[in-house]
Amino acid sequence: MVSPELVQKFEEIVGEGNVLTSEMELTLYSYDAYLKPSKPDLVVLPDGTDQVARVVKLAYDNGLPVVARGAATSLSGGPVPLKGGVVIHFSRMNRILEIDPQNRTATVEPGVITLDLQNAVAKYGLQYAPDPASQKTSTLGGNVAENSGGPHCLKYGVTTNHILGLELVLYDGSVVNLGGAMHESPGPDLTGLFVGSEGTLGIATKIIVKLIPQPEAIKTMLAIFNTIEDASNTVSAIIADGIVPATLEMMDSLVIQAVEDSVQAGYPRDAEAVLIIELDGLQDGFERLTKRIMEICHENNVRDVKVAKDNAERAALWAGRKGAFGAVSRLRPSYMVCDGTVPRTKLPEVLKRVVELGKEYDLPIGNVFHAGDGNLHPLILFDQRDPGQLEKVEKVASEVLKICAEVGGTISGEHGIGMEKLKEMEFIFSEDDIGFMWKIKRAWDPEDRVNPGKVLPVLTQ
Amino acid sequence: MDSKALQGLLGDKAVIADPQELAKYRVDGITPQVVVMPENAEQAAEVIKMANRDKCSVVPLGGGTHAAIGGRLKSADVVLSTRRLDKTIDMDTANLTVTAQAGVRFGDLQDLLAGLENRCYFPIDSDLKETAEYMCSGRDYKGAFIPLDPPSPFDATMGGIVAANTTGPRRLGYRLVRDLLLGVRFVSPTGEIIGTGGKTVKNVSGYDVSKLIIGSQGCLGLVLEMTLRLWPMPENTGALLAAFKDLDAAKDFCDAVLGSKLLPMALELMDATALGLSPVKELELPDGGFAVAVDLAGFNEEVAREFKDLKEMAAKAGAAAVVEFDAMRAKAFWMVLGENSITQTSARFKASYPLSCYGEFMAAVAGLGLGGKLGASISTGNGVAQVYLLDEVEPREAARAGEALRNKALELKGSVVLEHGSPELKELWDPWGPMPHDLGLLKSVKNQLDPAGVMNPGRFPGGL
Repeated sequence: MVSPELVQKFEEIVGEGNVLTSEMELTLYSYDAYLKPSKPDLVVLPDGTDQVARVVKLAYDNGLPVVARGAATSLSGGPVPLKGGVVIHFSRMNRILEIDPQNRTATVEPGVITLDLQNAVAKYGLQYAPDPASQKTSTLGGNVAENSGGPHCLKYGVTTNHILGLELVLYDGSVVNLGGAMHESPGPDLTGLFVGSEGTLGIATKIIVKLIPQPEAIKTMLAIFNTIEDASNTVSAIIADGIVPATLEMMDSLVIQAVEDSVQAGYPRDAEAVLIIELDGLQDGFERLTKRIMEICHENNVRDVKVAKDNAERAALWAGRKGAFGAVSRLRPSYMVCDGTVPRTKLPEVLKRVVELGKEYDLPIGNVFHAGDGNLHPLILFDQRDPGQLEKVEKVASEVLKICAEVGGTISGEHGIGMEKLKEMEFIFSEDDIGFMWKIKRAWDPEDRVNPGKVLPVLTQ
Repeated sequence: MDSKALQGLLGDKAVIADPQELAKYRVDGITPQVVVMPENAEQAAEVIKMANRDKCSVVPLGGGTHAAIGGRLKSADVVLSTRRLDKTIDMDTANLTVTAQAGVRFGDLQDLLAGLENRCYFPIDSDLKETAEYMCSGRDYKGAFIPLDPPSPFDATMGGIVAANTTGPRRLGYRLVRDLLLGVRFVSPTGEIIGTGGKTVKNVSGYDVSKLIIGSQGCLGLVLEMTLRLWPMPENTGALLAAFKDLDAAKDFCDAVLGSKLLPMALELMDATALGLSPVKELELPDGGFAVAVDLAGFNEEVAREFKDLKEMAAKAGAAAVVEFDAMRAKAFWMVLGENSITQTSARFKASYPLSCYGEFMAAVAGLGLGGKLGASISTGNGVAQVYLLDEVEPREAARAGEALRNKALELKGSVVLEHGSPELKELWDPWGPMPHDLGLLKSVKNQLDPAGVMNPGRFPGGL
């Protein structure tokens, strides 16, 4: 419980109406797209770096932890205030401060919605490449915290590859800058270390992103397969042909059905797998490449392969993929999405073991995956209201990650560790590895005040 | 440090204590007490643990192309050479990843990768298991490569490239180390073997520790082994060189290319001195003129279109001369340019600034009046300039040049750091200057990870 006097002090910083304390409000800020809520003591809505710094300082002086929050589309509990304290919500800091087409950078506040930035820079013939499926609601601050991925990361890399500079508020309210508008900053890459630290090293208040030119041409294809192995072999064959598409996305039959029920993307309901293949770049050579990809699909027994003729058709093909997570909620009220990543050639084997797990535990599992970069998202469907279900689901999810680790993969490709996968960290890291990360944490946040309880498991020794 | 104890640990041949031999390992003007060459991770970790116990400093050494990077070392008791950590561990062409030890030479690894049959893969059967017989694609060229462009590739080691964060003119179309490094194993400054990342393209499990190691210049650990992303070899490559009578004309050309949809691998603006480091003889550069080198790679149709468009753009910008290179000559051009930039220079500066400021920066370089003694090679699409001082430049003159460049870069909200220079130059002029990163945070990281200050003391910004 926070005293009324302290609430008033927060109000003095951010203004009346920008500190939320009612039971209902605290409940609303207690969860993200993961499954376990925890309530903050209060929520503040600052406007500007200075206010954030003063809020953090006040929290620090009063022994309260701070947790930054964007749109909370995160899938591993990143913005959930596990130990209470102050949630700093960035809904008021949602301005695009500058788009500099000549230097190919943009400077934004953390609350800017990813798609808003993408639309804003498109006018200049530029793009901000990372495209998490939640881009319609996710914020840049959240993308930085989680190092979000997305379908186009196969070619363009994840969020970290597009972040040039940051302004941060550290644990005690001090403000520091990392990097800048330069595309290559000298010295050790502290910016890169911060990206993906899930809000545990500090709070980003300004973000400088790299923009890249839009490609001259885009070709999107949808290939429909009767078996998963044909689709998987097509992926391998395309890459063996020396072609690295911008995206190679796959969905299995359960997801196809759910998508058709919700957005009617035009995927046949009896298909076992669909593959979205997108090329981008110079238009010269596209004709030959498209023909070659179609040939490869046919060599691998494709049932049908369509090429989107225009932007509308392209959007329709993508609507299914982007809406996939939302669509499956038609089948069951809750789902847990796993985020294992494996060397790409291990995908089919892992997929098979995931399907077997689902059967063993009697849980439907749908699969959406970034086939080109070995990132799989098994969606375990269940009903959280049924007693005991959540525990069972967590067990299956943990086993999926174990399988990924066993074949040389990792436990999170783009969703983060958060509070979800703390105990699975030992699948891939030694105590020394985790101890090293703790030293980094202490260098940035010596008293564990910023988003405590996330990412790093407590070592017993 | 006790060389007998080191010999016991590593074997006689892996320890150099002979004064005459040691003199060859002078670094920043300091002759080390001992040079060690561990052959595995455990040995390397043990050396660093001993250094912590004995309060000795450890200086990692790879190919030596960037051995004089950064601030002047305060001490260099033990030089730890990665020469014997020279194994290529895994070349997985179907996944397009390679794993190699720190001491592997970049050029050797590229040669190995170029010869790989990466057209082939093991298809899976209806049981989703890999079948025993592999399939090969129809493409008629093979090979993969690491899309990095370090100068002096046959000297530079993989560990050194990561630690010094090196690349070259082809940074425009290729990638930076930070875009390619999927995993790294290293010895921490306190002697633990730490692993992070792996063979997956995406990985957000735990902190992105590998980012901290890139460009850490040996101050935060010793790189043992790394996994990098590969690209399939392009179907075709080539380069186009154009000469312009002045900077304005050259800039018109560069701006036209940058404003187009073309995707060159390099768009390098060079003054006469920088061009002189290349093997090109046939390009007539007018007095006071500038050259632009454009590197191309891709499918046949793309490269053909790019050649065609570039020639038109060059003509429109009033090019005085244009030369086209095929794949072999393009490769030789970049190779020799990089090689000479290392062997024929006494100091190298790297400038960074917002990328549209490249013309202004080049004008400032030309305005220094150092004529044939100073050369600049600017990656126009990246906001990066390499500035070279040739062999005969005095430290005092070099310091003045560095300061003038830095002032210009700071005015543009950029920076200039020293990539190579003599100890005398480092005494006269701060190799780092004002940093874009917060120094307090950097200090805190260094102190947490290396409390005894064992790894490369003095090399980091702020003399850390």
